Amino acid sequence: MVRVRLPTPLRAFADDRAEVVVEAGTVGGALAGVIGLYPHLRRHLYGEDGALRSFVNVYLNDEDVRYLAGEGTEVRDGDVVTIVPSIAGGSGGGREHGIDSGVSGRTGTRDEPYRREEGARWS
Amino acid sequence: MKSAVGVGGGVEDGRAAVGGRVGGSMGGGFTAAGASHAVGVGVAVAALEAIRAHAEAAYPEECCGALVGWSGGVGGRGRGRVVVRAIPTGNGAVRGRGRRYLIPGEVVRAVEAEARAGGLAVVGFYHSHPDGGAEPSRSDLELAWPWYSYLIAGVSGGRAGAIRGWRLRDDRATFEPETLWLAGEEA
Repeated sequence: MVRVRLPTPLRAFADDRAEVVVEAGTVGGALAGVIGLYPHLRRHLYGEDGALRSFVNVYLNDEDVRYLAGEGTEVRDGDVVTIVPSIAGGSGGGREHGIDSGVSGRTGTRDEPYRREEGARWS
Repeated sequence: MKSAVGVGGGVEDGRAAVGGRVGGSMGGGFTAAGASHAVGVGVAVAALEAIRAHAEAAYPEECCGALVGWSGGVGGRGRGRVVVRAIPTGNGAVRGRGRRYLIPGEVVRAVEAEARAGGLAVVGFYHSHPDGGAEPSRSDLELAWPWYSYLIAGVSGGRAGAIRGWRLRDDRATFEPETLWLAGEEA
């Protein structure tokens, strides 16, 4: 069994639960399990393209899964998957309004979370 | 007092609010602390002033930060939603900070921990629109989370203007304006 911890803004869609326990073999499976129980979470976690939304961070036991195998990261009994929001926006509009990424892609280094995150999500 | 809060989610510079209702440019009545509010967000004057100061100091870049208080059973102290403090964070956007902002997840976790330590919770976030209005942009909408209150401060020529409150609709189609009201010392 895997515990999935929900951030405050998503708890209203999960009967006000802070944590949901599911059976899963991967991080993606754990998220799918939670969405199976609480379908209204889907639109806030995944975009229409089926990909995890921008600025949805997922940790496996405090390790950002982007440094692991993403949603394919294997999970074991007792693991904790934590969803953490990043907050972003601004007056510049969306991608179609000409925002560039500022970087060419992920840097993958632990000491540059802002740069990595933005490169991964704004490009 | 420098700021007042208006129905429709607005705060206008230089409008007195203490003691009751004052007409505003946004066409709504203004309410002072102590009134009964079933909806909307109470914002402490100190938090509003901190947001305004941050917006002006960061100009021409966007500022951003967390709103700490309580909301219903979250963060403790009662019904409704009240912002007690605004906690400035750095703008984590690598480039283009004049038109976008970023508060990374690690920072969100840190401010949540700080709020919890004080018996409160993060109930929303704020940011500024340099030389822009206090209405959410398309990227504000695309990247928003539900539940949180988003306060946006318009800034013109380095001077903070209106602050308005918004909350993402559950279907993500749009933001709904949140009525802001001034929370007094009891907050």
